Amino acid sequence: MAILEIHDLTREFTRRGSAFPAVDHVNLTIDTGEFVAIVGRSGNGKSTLLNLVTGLLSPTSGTVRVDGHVVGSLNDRDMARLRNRTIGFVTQSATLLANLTVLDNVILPAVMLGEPAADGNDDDTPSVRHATQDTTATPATDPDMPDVIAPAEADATTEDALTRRARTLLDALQVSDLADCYPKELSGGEMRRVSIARALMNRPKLLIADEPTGDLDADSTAIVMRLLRQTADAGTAVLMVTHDPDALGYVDRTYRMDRGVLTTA
Amino acid sequence: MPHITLGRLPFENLKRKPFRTAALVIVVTMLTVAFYGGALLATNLKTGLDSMQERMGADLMVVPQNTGAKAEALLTSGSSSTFYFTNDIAKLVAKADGIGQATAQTYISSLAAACCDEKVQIIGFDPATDFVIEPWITSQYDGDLKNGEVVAGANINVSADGTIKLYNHDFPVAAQLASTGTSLDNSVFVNETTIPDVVAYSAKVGHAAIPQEYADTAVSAVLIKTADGYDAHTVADNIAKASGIGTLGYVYPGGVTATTRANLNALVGYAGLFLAVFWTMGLVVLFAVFASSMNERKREFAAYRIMGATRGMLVGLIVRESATVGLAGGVIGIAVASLAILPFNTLIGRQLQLPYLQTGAFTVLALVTAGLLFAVTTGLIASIMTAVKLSAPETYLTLREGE
Repeated sequence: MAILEIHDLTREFTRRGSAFPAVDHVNLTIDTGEFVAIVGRSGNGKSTLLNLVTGLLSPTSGTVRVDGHVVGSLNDRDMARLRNRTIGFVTQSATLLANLTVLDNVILPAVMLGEPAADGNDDDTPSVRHATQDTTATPATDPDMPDVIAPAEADATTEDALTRRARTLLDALQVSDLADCYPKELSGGEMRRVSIARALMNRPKLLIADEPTGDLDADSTAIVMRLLRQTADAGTAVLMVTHDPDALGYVDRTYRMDRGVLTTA
Repeated sequence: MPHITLGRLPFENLKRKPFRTAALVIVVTMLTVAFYGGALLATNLKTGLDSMQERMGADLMVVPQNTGAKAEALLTSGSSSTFYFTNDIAKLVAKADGIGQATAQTYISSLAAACCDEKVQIIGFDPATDFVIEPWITSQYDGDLKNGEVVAGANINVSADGTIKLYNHDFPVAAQLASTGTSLDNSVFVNETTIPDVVAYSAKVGHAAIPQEYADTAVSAVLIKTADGYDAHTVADNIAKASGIGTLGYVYPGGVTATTRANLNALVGYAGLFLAVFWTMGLVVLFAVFASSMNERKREFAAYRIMGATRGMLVGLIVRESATVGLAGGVIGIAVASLAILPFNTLIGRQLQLPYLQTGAFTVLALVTAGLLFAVTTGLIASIMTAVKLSAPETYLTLREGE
């Protein structure tokens, strides 16, 4: 089932008074669980394409359909909801919030719309295993005790579901020890991994990653790429822009973008 | 610690930028001090003036030659003074046409010396004919003022034993009056018949307030309520003709009030203009601070959009941040201005040399509310344009601008 359908998509910018297409009549379809990479030189429209898909940029012509919704035809509220619940976006530049801890940065998308989007059940998160008990279960009651003396709540001192999920994601990306740090205390590579955790927080159907291994060493690249692969295997469609040849070994299909035109690599 | 929520986000943003937040709060505090403090002072001056007008039951005061200024100062907020006629002015005035009511008063200034608790204005009045002071005293003291007793103004320090020492004599204080915001608050009131005793006590300490030979007859002013259909100036002319004295001094309390009110209005007008300029400058500073932080925050706001924030949420976030700054600045500003003004009413009134009376608690509460609204609104106005710009539809372009 197609989660992303791009049809004849064009976005023009104006430079020195003349218009040029940064994205030129692009067509692309990605199914659930597919992992697609786009390569190409800098300035050839890859990031522009990703931002058109997420609705952060409006197309000059053509359409983008995500999970059946035509991006651009949605009102601001519905588009925001689609971005929050269906799409996860790892941007090229660091967009962690400087005023929040790493943990709160990861949790924020889950509380953005008021009602939590993640429930702490990480069974569907690849390579993520948590040993904590399900604290949402009703605690056992003692039949010999009167109602007014309830047993101490088992989860009174444990973390809530969102915190648990965020910590699990950070753990999977091997940055859980940085949970209480602020972004300015992190290296570029650490920030990138935290951004990936944030993008995965709401279990997106479509994960968009703009150079997710850009600041990472070989070991960290392997960790991230394995996680993205497993994310795709768990059913999330992944669209990635990369310059990293090592990353291409994990993907299902690769495209090349040259002067806004998308072709099969 | 509980995890982040959308409601906590503005406070985290403010908390993690302490210098920016403090700078914004200080600017709002200064504006609130100017707005609320200025409004409170102006209101207190107006209340003082209204109070003075209420105390002015006379249309005309006849005073000795060249003592008009002293008499006017006595009505407004000047220093205490002693002046008197040496002739029987009350009888001469009574002959004039157009007089409805007339009563004599005697003014003696006590000394700032060891013989006296403090320097006060002693006002002798005749309860039988008085129409200015007596109704006011009666409204707060239902007994008869006996010979040798005094009624004290609001600012007079009465001893624990209920007396006040003037010219080495302890006068029993029958009652103390409520504040009027005028020089009457620094006065003590005695029966006309007590005046010779006061003069005698003053002579004993070697500073005779009035020469002994005039002690029984000395009158400082005759206060007149004109008869219906007579203008105060016409009556003054009639008095000059009837008494045959061309050098009498005349004070028109209504005119004094009008002049004081005009001066006060001019003062409030200038203060308002100053406040408007000050506010505009403050708003420009706030706007500049918000705008300068815009570039720094472009990436942050793009991040919110990427995570699924609506434009309304972004505007709401900035609005809550600026409202919090406004509220904090407002509360601090009101507290500072209140501490600087409310406990020092007497001192402020003395320094301003104008009738000054603390307005009621309800009005102060209304001003506090207006001050807080002003502070929050100022914060909102300064930030709203930034909020709208940051929530531009094409977030990617905002993100690129922030790089």
